[in-house]
Amino acid sequence: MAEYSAMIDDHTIRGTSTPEKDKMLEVKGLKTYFFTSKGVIPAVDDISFTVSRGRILGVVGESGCGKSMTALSIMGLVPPPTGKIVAGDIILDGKNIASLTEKEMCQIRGNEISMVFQEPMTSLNPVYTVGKQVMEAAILHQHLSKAQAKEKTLEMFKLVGIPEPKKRLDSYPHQLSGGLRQRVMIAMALICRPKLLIADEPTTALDVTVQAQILQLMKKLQTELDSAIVLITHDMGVVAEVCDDVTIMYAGKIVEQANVFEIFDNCLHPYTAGLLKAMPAFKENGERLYNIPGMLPNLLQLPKGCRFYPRCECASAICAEQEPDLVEVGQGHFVRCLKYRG
Amino acid sequence: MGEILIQSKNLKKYFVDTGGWLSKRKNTVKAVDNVDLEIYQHETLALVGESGCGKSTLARLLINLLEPTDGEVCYKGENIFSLSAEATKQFKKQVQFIFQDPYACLNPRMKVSDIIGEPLTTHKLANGTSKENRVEELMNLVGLRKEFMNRYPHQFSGGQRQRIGIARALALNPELLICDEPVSALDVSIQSQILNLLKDLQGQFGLTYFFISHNLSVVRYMADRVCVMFLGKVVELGNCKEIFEQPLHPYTAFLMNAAPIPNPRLRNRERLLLEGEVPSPINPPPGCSFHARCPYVQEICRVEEPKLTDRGGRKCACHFSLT
Repeated sequence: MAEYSAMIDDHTIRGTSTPEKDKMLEVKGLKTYFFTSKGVIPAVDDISFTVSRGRILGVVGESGCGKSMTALSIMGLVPPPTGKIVAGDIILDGKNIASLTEKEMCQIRGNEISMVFQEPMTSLNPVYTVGKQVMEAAILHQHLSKAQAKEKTLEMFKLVGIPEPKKRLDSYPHQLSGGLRQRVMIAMALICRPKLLIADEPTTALDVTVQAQILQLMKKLQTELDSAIVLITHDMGVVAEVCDDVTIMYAGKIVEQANVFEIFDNCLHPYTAGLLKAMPAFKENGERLYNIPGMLPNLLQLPKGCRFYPRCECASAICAEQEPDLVEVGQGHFVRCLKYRG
Repeated sequence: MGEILIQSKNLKKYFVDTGGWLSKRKNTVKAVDNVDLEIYQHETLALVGESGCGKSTLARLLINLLEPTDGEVCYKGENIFSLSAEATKQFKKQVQFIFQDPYACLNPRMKVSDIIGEPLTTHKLANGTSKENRVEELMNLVGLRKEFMNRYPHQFSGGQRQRIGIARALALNPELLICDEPVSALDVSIQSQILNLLKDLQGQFGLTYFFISHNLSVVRYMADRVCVMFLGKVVELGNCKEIFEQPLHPYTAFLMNAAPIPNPRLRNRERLLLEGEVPSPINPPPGCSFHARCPYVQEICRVEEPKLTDRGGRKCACHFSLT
């Protein structure tokens, strides 16, 4: 174990204390609500985080906790008309993009921020060749000519490790395997050298061997391009492999935030502990797996007090009454639990 | 180990792609190629491999959902493909399937009680009150409240739907359950509930599981023995712990190494990354099917196909071995 720790440099360990100029994305008090006929759903409720240049932030949580909606909010893609960003700032490289109009946002989307989706098959257009689809981004945003765009696409295909890149330019999505399609998606996302890449469960639909390749690729490209990545996942194994910082979300709120070593060595929130304990990887055959009792609360009828209280094993009477704040307990380590207040 | 419950002998399934009615081209996909496998009573045999390696085809062959090109499957000593109509019905009662996608495998227009009770009606085992009682008992068994009986699938969460699927599979008191990626569509915390449930049911009813998964930590937790497939062939078969700790076949080693380890301090460990994509099962290369990606490839690997041979209680199809 010792030699591995020695390889991790000081910067990685100390995590979130980064100078102002390195901040690539800062989200402050973001609230995305859905106004439905049944009531208001606070899908994203007061989320704040920072991603620095050259770092990977992992956003973790169960389905329905608001992690994908956070990503869509940053992209300006909250589904209208029910969904709306009601408060908060999204500051990308010093510029607030939360208040931009759709037209201005189009200039940023795909150019300065881009996104890789979970399902590579459904996010590629089946009737155009992949080369054409990747070129489109470059032609639209970088105002390149067709020939230049093609050359750039070829270069990107080589960078993401697509074999026979020249031949693949003229392939249709159905002719490629899942791993190759995801590589095409990554090439498309990175062709304009975005400042920020949002990857929403990029490896969930893939085999372990391909997953390992894609994760290594993302890490390699990030160091080469010096961009920031927000990686949305529910797999703590993936988080341990590539992320520098971790944000754990529960029912629309951040419950814990720290660098990856803190989360795995010294997690404080009972929900984070539950997620880690539920993983079969830590167990021998025959031992019972831990599971977090109960289910995610209905966002229309949130419990008073702590949102995790009905499922929490360490809950006391006060948890039902008082809603905890996100407090800093150590350097860059935030937790939302009444056990750790003040 | 108990007695052999189900066994495949030289099992083959080839799919022929004629390439359309004008094409002269004819491609054969060897989805399952010469598989010899036995599943013992009360054990969990896990099947792992990349997508497209023939895992699901093999599972379908084992329960007579597909006709094999060649070979046989013996259930308690009898070939299931040559049973009489009546015996086939009895056989199908004893093997059941749990599907991957809890959203797609339940009919959205049927009530939960009808979904779970349908096998009972099909096999004319119960009706009226006796059926209702049995459904109640099954729902209780998998941890669903009986008040949910008259609800429709869309009113349930993913984990609950998977429980409905399990209750339906248990309705006929089967001996063998084929679980095709039963937890891959679920969140970690729900996944652990379903895995615990499957373990409990196995203890309670002495079930035998054939467990297909690509999540290796789930396999390690659930399985007694593991079978690794590559391009339609079994490349390694043996005790779960031994395979994870000391893989013999290079492909197994790659697979184990690719699994993410939930410990950030190990992220800079030495890695074996597979180069390239899975070769196409259409016209696989001669010799060992893994030779194009294998780092230890020798001359013999390109020419001669290795046989699955015994290596001290384990089986491995490689001319060499990693130890």
